[in-house]
Formats: sequence, C-alpha cells, structure tokens
Amino acid sequence: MNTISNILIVEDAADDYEACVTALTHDHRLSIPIVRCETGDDALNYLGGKGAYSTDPPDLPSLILLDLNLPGTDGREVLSQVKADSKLKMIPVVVMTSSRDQSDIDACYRQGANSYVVKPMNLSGFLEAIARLRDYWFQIVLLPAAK
Amino acid sequence: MGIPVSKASMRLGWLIAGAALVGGGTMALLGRGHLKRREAQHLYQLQELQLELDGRHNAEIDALSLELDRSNRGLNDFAYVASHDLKEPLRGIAINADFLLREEVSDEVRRRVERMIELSGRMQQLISDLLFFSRLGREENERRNVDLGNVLQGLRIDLGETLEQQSGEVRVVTDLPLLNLDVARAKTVFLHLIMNALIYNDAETKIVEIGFEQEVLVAGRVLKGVFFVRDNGIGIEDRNHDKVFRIFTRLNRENEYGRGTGAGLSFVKKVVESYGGDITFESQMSQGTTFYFPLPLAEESPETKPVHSPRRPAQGKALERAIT
Repeated sequence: MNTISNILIVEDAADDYEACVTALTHDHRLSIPIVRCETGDDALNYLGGKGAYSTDPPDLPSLILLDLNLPGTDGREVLSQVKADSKLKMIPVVVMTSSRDQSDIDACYRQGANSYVVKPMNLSGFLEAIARLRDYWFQIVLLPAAK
Repeated sequence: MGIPVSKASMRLGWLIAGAALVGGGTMALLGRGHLKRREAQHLYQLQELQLELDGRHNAEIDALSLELDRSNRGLNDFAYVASHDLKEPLRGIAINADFLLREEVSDEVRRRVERMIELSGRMQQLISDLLFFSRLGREENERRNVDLGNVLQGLRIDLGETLEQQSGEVRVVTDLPLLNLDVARAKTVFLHLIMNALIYNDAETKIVEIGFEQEVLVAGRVLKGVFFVRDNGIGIEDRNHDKVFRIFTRLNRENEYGRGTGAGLSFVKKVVESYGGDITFESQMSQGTTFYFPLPLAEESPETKPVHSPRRPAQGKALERAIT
C-alpha cells in the first residue's frame, strides 16, 4: 500500500492555480494536501530540501503538476532536473501548459514527463480535466512508495 | 534570391564597360602591338575587378543569409513567446468570468459574461492559429515517402464525427502518387481543404473528391502534376478570389457557416508554397469549388504509371498544344 503525501502544483498564475485547486477540491473527493510553488527555483528548492526548505525538508510530493512558462527557471528546466535526479525521477510529473505545440509536447516526453495536458480555456474544462487527472493518478494507477 | 541576379547583371555591366574600353577610340592613336598590350592589360584588370567583386558579393551573400537566418529565428521566437504570453492573461479573463458565473447573477449579467467567455475563447483560437501559421513553412520535420491514401484514411477517422454530422463523404477518385514530404504538412493541407469543403457547403450530401491529374487546364493555364480537392459546396465568388487565402479572412457572416477563424486555407497555401508550389482553384457558385496544387512527389513513385482518370488526359494534351 502506498501512502500519498501531497500534490505539488508549480504555477505562477494565480487564476490557473485557483482553478486547479477548485477543480481538485470542489467535489470534496480529494483530501490530499496541496502545496504550491510559484517559481521553478522555489520548486527545485522544495524538491531538493534546499534554500528556505533546508531546515525542515518537506515530504516529497506524490504528484507534480508543472506549468511550463514560469518566471526565471522555467518548467522545462524543472522537468529535466527532476527527471535527472535518481530519487525525484520516480515522481510522476504532469505538465500543464497553454502550449499545444508539437515540439513542446515532444520535448517534454523526451525529458520524461508522465503526462502532457493543455490547460483548458475555461473553468468547466479545468474542473473536468483535473478531476479526471486526479481520478487517474490517485484511483487507477498505483504510485511508487512515498519517501 | 535577388542577389545572384544582381551579381550577374553587375558582371554583365563590367563586361560591357570593358568592351567599350577595349574597342574604344584609342585605337587610332596607338600601334597594333601597343593596343594588344593595352587590351591584355585591361582584360587583366577586368578579371581582377571581377574577382574582387565576386569575393565581395560572396561575403555579402554570406552576411545576408546569416542575417536572414537570425531574423527567421527571431521571428519564430517572437511568435512563440507572443502567443504564449498573450494566451495566459486571456485564460485568466475566461476563468475569472467563469468564477463570476458561479455566483448569483441576473440573466443580463450572465448573458454578457458568457459572451465575454466566448470571445476570449475565440481570441485564443486566433492566437493559436497565428502561432501555427508562423511556424508552418519554417519548421519542417524530416521528409519521407508518404502514402497519401493512408493520410486520407487517417483524416477520415479523425473527422469521423464531423463527417457523420455533416453527411460528408471523402472520396479518392484517381490513383494517387507517392509523396515525399513532412507528413504533418500533408495532413495540414488535406485536413483544411476537407474542412473547408464540408463547412462551406449546403448540399444534402457533402462530397469531397480528391485526386491527382498529370495535366489539367485551369483558368487558361495548363497545370502539370497537381492534386485536386473538389467539393459540391457553395462556391467562391470571383471578387473573393484572392481573399480566400488571406489569414483570418472569412467571407460569410459570423454564424452563417460555423465559427472557423478563417485560417485554414492560409495554412494550405503556406504549405504548398513552402514546397515551391502554387495553389489555385476554379469555382462555380452553388456548384462547387476545385482546388489544384502540387506537392513534392517521391522520386520512384507510381507517378510514372498512368494515372487512372476518367476524364480528359488526351484532351489536356491537345489544349496545351493549342496554348503554347
């Protein structure tokens, strides 16, 4: 049996984050804590227990929802660092972005992304997509043991 | 490609100047031997100048193509960044409007907010199309031999629902030669031509015929080795002949024939032109439209075998003779 720790959402846009949280929690079926990092550097610090997180390294998330367009270190860089790390690479990463561009899609899968989702344009689309993602990752598939 | 031409004309200019110099009025004043020497000297100087010019031009060409390369890359980055950065706030607007609709609001507010959501969706589609358009023709995946029949079969499956809803039929009416291109671009061409044929069509059964002609006469011009996509749609008025390929140009009222952005045919044109071809069409109002365009063929393709066509291969030849 695996224990689920939390979901890490790496997202700078407040609207998208709010939509994600609403989608994850609106039908009260998810009681998993949600953690947000607003920048790529913040996410890498969080995952590596570095910087502001060094005194009290947090549990690694069970799932990462990753925006690609982030200020500073962008999502592509976060993805490649996560997937290059022997410990972190087990965490499924769902890329969520506004880009439908085939070169972005290919590049993300090449780096080891576990899913690539285009952010729906409206809230109802968000609710549906995230609810499905949540059901898929937390009900259908089995996740690696949390460390 | 203006540079080689100007280089050639420059060279011609020097040769003419040289000829004038050599054959000029100095002859009367000088002895023959002296003249020969002067001639040789001039010719030598000419050659030197020519070499120097060539060198300069090559450097210029290198510099220009480097500049073009840089500008293309810049344009690509620009379109990409602009499109993504434009999309983010748009989605923010739509999501906030959605959140607003989750509150108790009057019907009037609801109607207006829904319109805002619809318009932001439309804006997002326009941005996506613009990005796609800007990338088409500049980024190419590997070219390989492509069986158009397979591409069309794939599109039939992708468009299954649309075809059913629109009572549309896609028919291949001739043998098709093997293509050699980026398969994604082939899909782009035929997808948008088929969509165009289905959308702008009032017929009960919307028929899209696809084929290949070795030779065909279109608007007084003989086209060789062209594909065609024919529909039984509403037709395109003559006065709109040039407009149909312009991006985001829609020739009908907003809700008359669906809500396309009017980018489809501009994608098609861009792909065809990226392979050095030209797209053209002939159309009759309420009868239908046929688009003609070439695409790169595989070298040892069945193009050499006679293309099965029910109509006018012989007549085409005769017409060509009549014109040339």
